[in-house]
Amino acid sequence: MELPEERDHEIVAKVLQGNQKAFADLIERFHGTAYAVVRGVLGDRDDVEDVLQHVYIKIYKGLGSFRGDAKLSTWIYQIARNEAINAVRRRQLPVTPLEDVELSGSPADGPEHRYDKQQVGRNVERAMAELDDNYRIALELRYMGERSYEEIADMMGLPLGTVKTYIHRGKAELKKVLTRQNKAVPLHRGGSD
Amino acid sequence: MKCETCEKNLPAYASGELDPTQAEELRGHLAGCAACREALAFFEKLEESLTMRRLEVPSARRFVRAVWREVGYSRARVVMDVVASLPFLSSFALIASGILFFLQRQRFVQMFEGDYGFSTWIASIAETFNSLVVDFAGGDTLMLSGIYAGATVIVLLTTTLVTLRFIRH
Repeated sequence: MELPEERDHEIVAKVLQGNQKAFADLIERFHGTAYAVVRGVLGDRDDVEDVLQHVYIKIYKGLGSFRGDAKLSTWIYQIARNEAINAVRRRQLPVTPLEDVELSGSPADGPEHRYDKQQVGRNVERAMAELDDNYRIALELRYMGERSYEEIADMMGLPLGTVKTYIHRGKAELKKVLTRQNKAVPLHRGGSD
Repeated sequence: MKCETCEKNLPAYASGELDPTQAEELRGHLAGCAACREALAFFEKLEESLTMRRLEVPSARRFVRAVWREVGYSRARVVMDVVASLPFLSSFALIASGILFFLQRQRFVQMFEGDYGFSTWIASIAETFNSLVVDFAGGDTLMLSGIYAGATVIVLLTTTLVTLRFIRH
């Protein structure tokens, strides 16, 4: 849940006074957001948690410079995004190649087809790597970070309508990528009025 | 509604975010279009899969512990910070005074009963303070009551503040 803006200053003040519990609470509240952003930039890589660790250390050390011009969530979003982008640059991480993927379980598959949720999750994960960064980050914030459209718009500094468009187009792009890979659900063009 | 329009709206429909009027129109199209129903099934499964992604977020606790390690905050240091804090010291002093008073209660009784002059000393301080306040009030009963009430409120607020700070810490 997003904190009201006035509470941001109280939390920051407590952490700066050396209150460790306040810092733990702060991390707990924004953990989903920070993780979603790092995953949004890096994808499902081994070093996601290392980068996230650096993000939290940076937040802890940088809280003294938080002036409250932006919301705390926006400030944390920016730190997480920059840290993840820097990690990509530093290590020149290769893009995860798409393997044969399938979003199984369409009605056309018939009752004999086994719907494997874990496999679907992995396939979606790989397809996410092909999305535009903005689409991927918006989707991760929405689903992994469990943030509202308004919160995402605040953090990314975008109009609400643009965020909705990113998320819906991101899903449409995911469908295209997954379909291209396995032809399981061909794009339908044609039709009835 | 054409299939292109339907497909464009399917992601929002599958997540239950499409405008009711558009949703009704879309349902009308779906009733007569097997291909779009198939596409809807795809988006519904995609929605389910995306919703499950929240389960992949690891616990925040170990990250917090790792930050303490990184910035040199050991468990011992955390304990020392609490011990060195004003609320902790105040509470400790209060408890220690209580214990001391309990253990030495006979001596305290003697102080007030015997020839130590302790009771006289306290009484004289109280009397001096009282006479100063009375002089300041100039015989005004209302002002006198106000001064004592104010002093009581200040003592109570300070005690509450110190206790709350200790609890929060």
